[in-house]
Amino acid sequence: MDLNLVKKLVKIATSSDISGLEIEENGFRVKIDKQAKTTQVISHPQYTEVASHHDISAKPVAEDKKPELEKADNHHEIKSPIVGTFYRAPAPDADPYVQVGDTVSVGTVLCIVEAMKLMNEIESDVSGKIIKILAENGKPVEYNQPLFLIEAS
Amino acid sequence: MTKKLSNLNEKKRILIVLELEKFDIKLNTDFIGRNFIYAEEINSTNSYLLDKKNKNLVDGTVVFAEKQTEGRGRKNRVWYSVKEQNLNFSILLTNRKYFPKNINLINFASSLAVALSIENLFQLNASLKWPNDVLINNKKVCGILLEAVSQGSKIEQLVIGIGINVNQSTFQGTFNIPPTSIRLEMNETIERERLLAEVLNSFEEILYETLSNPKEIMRDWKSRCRMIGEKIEVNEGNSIKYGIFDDIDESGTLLLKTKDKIEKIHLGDVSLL
Repeated sequence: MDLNLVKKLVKIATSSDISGLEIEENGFRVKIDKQAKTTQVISHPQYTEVASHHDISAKPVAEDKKPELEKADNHHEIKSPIVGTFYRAPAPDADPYVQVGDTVSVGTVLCIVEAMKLMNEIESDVSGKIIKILAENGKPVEYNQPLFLIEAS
Repeated sequence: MTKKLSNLNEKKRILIVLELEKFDIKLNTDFIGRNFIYAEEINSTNSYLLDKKNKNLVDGTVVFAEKQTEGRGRKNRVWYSVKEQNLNFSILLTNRKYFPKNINLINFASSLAVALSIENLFQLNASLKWPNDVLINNKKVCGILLEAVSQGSKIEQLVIGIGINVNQSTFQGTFNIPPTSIRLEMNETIERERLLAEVLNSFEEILYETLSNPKEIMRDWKSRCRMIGEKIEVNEGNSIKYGIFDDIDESGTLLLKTKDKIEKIHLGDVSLL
């Protein structure tokens, strides 16, 4: 589950009169209990390795609004749409599409993920700055694995 | 004798351009190929559909070219095809409704569609080579290259580029797999319009089945793959692996049995040892 989504839910719960909130989506359940002051993220057992890896990032989040959480809301993850091999450049001897620190806009090509004979060119869906490249060139990536972290402008 | 042959070729030359009416009568699809773009010459049919200038084309659009000046395969290998002899075309899919959960299944659906069409029309035994080559008598008759564009984490456009050697009778160059054409296998000139319509009809049918019954598609595909159980070499570009082609799993991944484990292979050139 997207950490940003959890944060958004916390925000909604905090700013309203409700005593709690429980939402289930794609096998993940988020339960926010305002009395208990905690947020639980529960993954269902049918989840794969990749999904459970995501759980780690979705640790219980305190519902108090903190300034750094606000800032992290700008952070946008680009995830792999397919299982395959991650390439940062169009050819082995070519320059990478993007580097950390580069400014990108909607439609800027970020990478290619190749599987079998499917070449998947991944473009940014936000404008902003690349703050982290989360996968290694030439290495396999799983479905939904985060590839880039972009600070949306 | 030689003179006679060239005269014959001259006569046929006039009839050789794709006749759209003939193709249209045979086309029996809901949406694949209903918007059909014919080009005498183009850089690459895949590039045309992926070009941002053409992004408003309807789902299922097919672009066909008599000649591609930059026809390509995986790793930018050249796909060379003599003008007006073969079928070079690309299919555009934009509606996520038709994307199977595992998009790689389209590799198998498209090659299976070509193999079934060749079997139906010409009673030739077409076999399949992982992940999506179509062979006749162990020679390559069709190559397929899929290209997708994703915005963020979502696939927006999927282009399936298909090249079938139909009436070409000679091939020059060096090849990983020896090439052939349907004409060479049949010893007669083939009507391209009928084959093109058959492939598109079959592709649409299999695409629907990929959504409703993906296991069946993989079963059909595997029944035509002669390499399963054989000793193979997998060239992944930067490394070569050896082992036994154990199986293909439900997601289409090749399972390579090595000395001590089963390795999952997502890409590479596979050949028999």
